[in-house]
Amino acid sequence: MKSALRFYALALVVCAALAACGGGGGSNNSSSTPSGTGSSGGTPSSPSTAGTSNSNQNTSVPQSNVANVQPVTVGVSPGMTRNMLTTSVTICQAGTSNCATIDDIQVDTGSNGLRILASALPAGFSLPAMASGGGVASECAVFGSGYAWGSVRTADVRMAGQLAAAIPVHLIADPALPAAPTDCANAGPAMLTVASLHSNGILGVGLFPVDCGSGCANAALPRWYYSCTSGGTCTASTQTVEQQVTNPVSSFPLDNNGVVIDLPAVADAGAASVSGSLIFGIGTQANNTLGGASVIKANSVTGYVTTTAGGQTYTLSYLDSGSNGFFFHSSQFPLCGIWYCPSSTQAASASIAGSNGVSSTVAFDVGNASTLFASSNNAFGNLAGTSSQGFAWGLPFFYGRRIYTAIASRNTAGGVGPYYAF
Amino acid sequence: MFKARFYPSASAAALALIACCASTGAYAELGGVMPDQATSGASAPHTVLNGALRVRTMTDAGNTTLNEYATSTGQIIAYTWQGPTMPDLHALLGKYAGSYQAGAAAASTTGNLHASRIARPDVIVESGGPMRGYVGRAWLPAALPAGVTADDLQ
Repeated sequence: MKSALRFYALALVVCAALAACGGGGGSNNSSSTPSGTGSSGGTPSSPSTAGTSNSNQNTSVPQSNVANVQPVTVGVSPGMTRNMLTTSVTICQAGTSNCATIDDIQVDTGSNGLRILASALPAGFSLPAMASGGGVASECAVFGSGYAWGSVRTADVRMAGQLAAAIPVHLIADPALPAAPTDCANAGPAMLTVASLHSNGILGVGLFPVDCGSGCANAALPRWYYSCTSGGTCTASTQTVEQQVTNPVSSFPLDNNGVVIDLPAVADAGAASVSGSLIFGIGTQANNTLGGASVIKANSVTGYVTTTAGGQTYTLSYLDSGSNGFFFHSSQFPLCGIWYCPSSTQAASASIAGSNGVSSTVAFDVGNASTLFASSNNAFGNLAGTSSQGFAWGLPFFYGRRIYTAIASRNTAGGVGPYYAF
Repeated sequence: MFKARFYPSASAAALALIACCASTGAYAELGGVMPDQATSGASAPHTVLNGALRVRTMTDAGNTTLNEYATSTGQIIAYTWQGPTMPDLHALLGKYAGSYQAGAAAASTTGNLHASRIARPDVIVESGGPMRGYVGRAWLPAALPAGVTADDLQ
């Protein structure tokens, strides 16, 4: 018993030192500034001086003439998933020209980091594993729709003319790994196949440079990073920020402070396909300046902004190209399953506000989901459904707009991220 | 009283942290019994909705905030969560975990990456949010007291 007390006392001290059990996720990214984050051994990245000050808006952002336009499309996706924004990503063995281009990677501003199904890589294309503790690094990436279990490996990521050198990427369903640990597998449905992912992978180009943040560097948080031994045991472990799965944009040498998603508008009845651009950088080239966009500052820990619609306030709100509809709770529209299906398309409006006190009023439509799904179209600007909490501005919000997503602690002419602008 | 969780192969530091947080954030599970008093790491229960429900708040090992709801007789019927880490759904669901897993395996999803809803006759789980902003709830639909709806679970 005496040793148990001493043990417990040690644990209390550990907890006190961390100020919160678990260490908290994602707080204070100003210490994980652009220099070298996630690109262990790669070219020193980002001369942009983010992190030196949260208030300067006039520090010049390094200009670039590196090709920064990545084509993105909405079309037919596995399982007839609608509003699935995808692109092709080139991944290389670091420092070499041994590369593979993987199609049908979902473009997601609601997460951070590149994740690819191991089965989507060409046979014989291998990437080095990353050491962790006495084993190799692996991760349980949890989404609302389920979990993706895989190894953390190092790769060059190339898109347009850009290179993210030797960054940690997530190899989903890596056959070299043991099965997902129980606490990972219990986090929700498995997303380990094309059928369950509805894609070959996910390109997380959201508000943060890495997926977890300082919380995972400080503590072995459950359902994040693990160390897997060759004996087949995986244990929750810490993962330094530099070794966490990295938003590739944050590791580009230039054009690395965020992205612009630029999609054309979609007719009321939808479109079979949509083609647009994922543009790297904010205010780094002529094609990505903010112009008249309103900067809506997001919560620096969670990334949330606040939406007010129909007299209700939703404090858990986010702009998410990886959600395939507007998702919010409302009693104004009839439901067909989880989707809204008013007999005729309804016009609605809302205001989106940031922690900087800036708000922007937006108009949006709620269509009849049953009618939309019965069509053969894949892109819908008015697909909406219910949600228990929050207001997700999914891909329909991106049609007909240029939406800027600024990375936390990175400097832009509109201020320091994280923010959305549109 | 304290439900310690031990991971046999964890390092000492990780074990200390987990044991610490497991003991300070001790909570039961759907269908379990909510303690009357405050426990270490959880607020004292208080009543809401004119006494129809009792709720207490705790922070789990991943620094995620959970609200635990119980009937006036103390039966735990719901959890809501918000935080940087997905909570231990398996632990929260207790004996309903199997039903949830069966539903998850059979679910034809909406194709929405950031949200899911698994509805079984005995348990409903809604999970969503971006990474770092996990939010969700799980409840026993048949156990909601009269006059209480899922919308009351915040």
